[in-house]
Amino acid sequence: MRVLLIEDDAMFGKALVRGLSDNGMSVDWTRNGIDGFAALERSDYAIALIDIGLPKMSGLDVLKARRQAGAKTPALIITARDGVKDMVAGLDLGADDYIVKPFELPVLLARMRAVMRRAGDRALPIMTSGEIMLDPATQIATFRNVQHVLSGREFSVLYALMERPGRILSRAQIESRIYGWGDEVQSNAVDVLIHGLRKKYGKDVVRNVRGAGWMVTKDLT
Amino acid sequence: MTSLRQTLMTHITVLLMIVGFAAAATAYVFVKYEVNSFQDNALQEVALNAGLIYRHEIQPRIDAELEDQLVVQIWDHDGKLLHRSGPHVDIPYRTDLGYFDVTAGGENWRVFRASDPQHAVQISQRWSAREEVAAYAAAGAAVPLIVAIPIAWLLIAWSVKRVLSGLGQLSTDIGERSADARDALSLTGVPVEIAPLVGAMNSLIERHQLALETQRRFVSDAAHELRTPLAALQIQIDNLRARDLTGDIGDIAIDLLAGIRRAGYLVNQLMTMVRADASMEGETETVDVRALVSLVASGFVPLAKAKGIELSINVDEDIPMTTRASDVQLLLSNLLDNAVRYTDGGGLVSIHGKYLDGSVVIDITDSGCGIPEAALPYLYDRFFRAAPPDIEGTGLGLAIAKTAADRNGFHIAIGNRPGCRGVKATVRIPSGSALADPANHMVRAEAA
Repeated sequence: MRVLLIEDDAMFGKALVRGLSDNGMSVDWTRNGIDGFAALERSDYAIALIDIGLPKMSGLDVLKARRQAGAKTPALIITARDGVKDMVAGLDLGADDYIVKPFELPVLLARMRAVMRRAGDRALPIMTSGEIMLDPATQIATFRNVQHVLSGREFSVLYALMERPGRILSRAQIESRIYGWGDEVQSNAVDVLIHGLRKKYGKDVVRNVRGAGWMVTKDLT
Repeated sequence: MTSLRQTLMTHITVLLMIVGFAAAATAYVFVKYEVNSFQDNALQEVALNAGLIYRHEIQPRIDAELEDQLVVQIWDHDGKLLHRSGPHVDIPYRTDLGYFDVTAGGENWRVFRASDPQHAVQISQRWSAREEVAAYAAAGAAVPLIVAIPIAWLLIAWSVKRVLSGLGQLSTDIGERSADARDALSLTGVPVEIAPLVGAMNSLIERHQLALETQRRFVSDAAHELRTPLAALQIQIDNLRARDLTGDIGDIAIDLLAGIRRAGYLVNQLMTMVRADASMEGETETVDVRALVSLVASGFVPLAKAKGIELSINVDEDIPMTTRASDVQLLLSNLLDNAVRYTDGGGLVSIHGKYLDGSVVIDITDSGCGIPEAALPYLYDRFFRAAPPDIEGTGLGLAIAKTAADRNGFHIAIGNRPGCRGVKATVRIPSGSALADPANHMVRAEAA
């Protein structure tokens, strides 16, 4: 899945990009508020991680401006400021959660999952669609009681599809959901990933809608 | 240190005594001299008058005491004693005229002798009598002066006290100030001479506050700035641990992680400390003590469980308390953190809360390693750690707790439990106005 990180500190940013990438995410990293704002405007991110103290435009201003423009991208503030005022301001301007540095990576990942779960209007931590279940915490997919640990990209594709079962995602949409700026996207990369998933779970789980894209069936229960 | 009042009074007393005694002594000497010459004149008058008038049979009308009586002797020109009166002392006949002193009958006499062609008159008076009269007269002059010394001293002491009472109020004001007081000292009732001193003190207080503020901001900024690199380290170590690390490298990664966590904890404590130091914000509110204690304790349940420590809470029901709840929370959580931190597995940490004599009293006891006696005076010093070195800590927890307590007028006492292992920390919180009927709560507490 594709994540936007707006963070000016090089050391912290680099560490976090590595940590998120290790967990199967594509991270776009901007080092100032204005670039971050533009990135949020152009692309569809699963979540944005925003620092408050940023050059050119503060994280709170980025958030405020995007929310006023109607953007719904889940946003989590990552900051060294732990004052009550900052927290209240951040949350009231539209952040979904707030995490104070330093924190441990698993905590951040769990918070990100929680924020995305709420943004996807799900209460259960495990996503289900038909006979397939996906656990975002472990990236394990369960199909007819058989468990598979998915690769980062496979997980991202399935996550994107299962976020809204029944919704068709085009190749471009899927690409934009899983590839960051640095990634070189092969023309048939999405096809290869889909092919892999369909081979594991059968053609009924991930359906192809000719000319439009792919979808997972809506859970009937 | 010298007391202005004492110094002033010492000087005044010494001067008053020197001047008074000198004046009294001078008065004594002069009056005595005067009285003596006056008595001499009297002798002369008597002699002259007695010589002129022959009064053989006249009894003395003044019933003078024997020692005060004069010896009057009158001779004719042949040297025959014609008259003699007064005490029976034989004053020898002298040929020279005027005043002279003789010794007769074991006493010293002052004698005046006068003569005319028919008679010679000799009047004698005891020196002791003369001295007595002179001394009484001189004392009459000197005693009022001596009595005036203590009276003047009392008056001066009273007025000095009055003048200095303005300073007394000032010292009380200064004495009662808390270390955090920011307002200037009042100049009301301060003597003009002292006002510049108060002004200088006010400017010193201002500079001190400024320096303190700068220091707080520095600590705050430093802690804040440390957070981002620490966060980077934390994430890097998490990244490292996500890989399959084997053997030594895995161990090193775990040690590193512990170090980073510790640094992170220290930074958080520093931030808390700066905030506890600086802020007076936070409204007072009425809270239920039991609910508040439960809330704080709940934060320590996972840690206690992980260490195998039993956590017991026993707080009387329905004790409301009007106070700055966030500070009570900060205070209790720091004390509880210590209790859980320094207690080994299998130990017991218990919290006991009750209402007692107008205060809410919360005891936190543990069965941990205790505090070395030598460390007790330094418990609240920043970065002072009394605990065994193998237990992690920053040495800031109790400093934070103390700051929160001092600011609100709470009382903390921490000490080893008498007769058994562990530490007992007692917090006494004067309960606010909400406790309108404490007796009612006492009854309920007893019934519970």
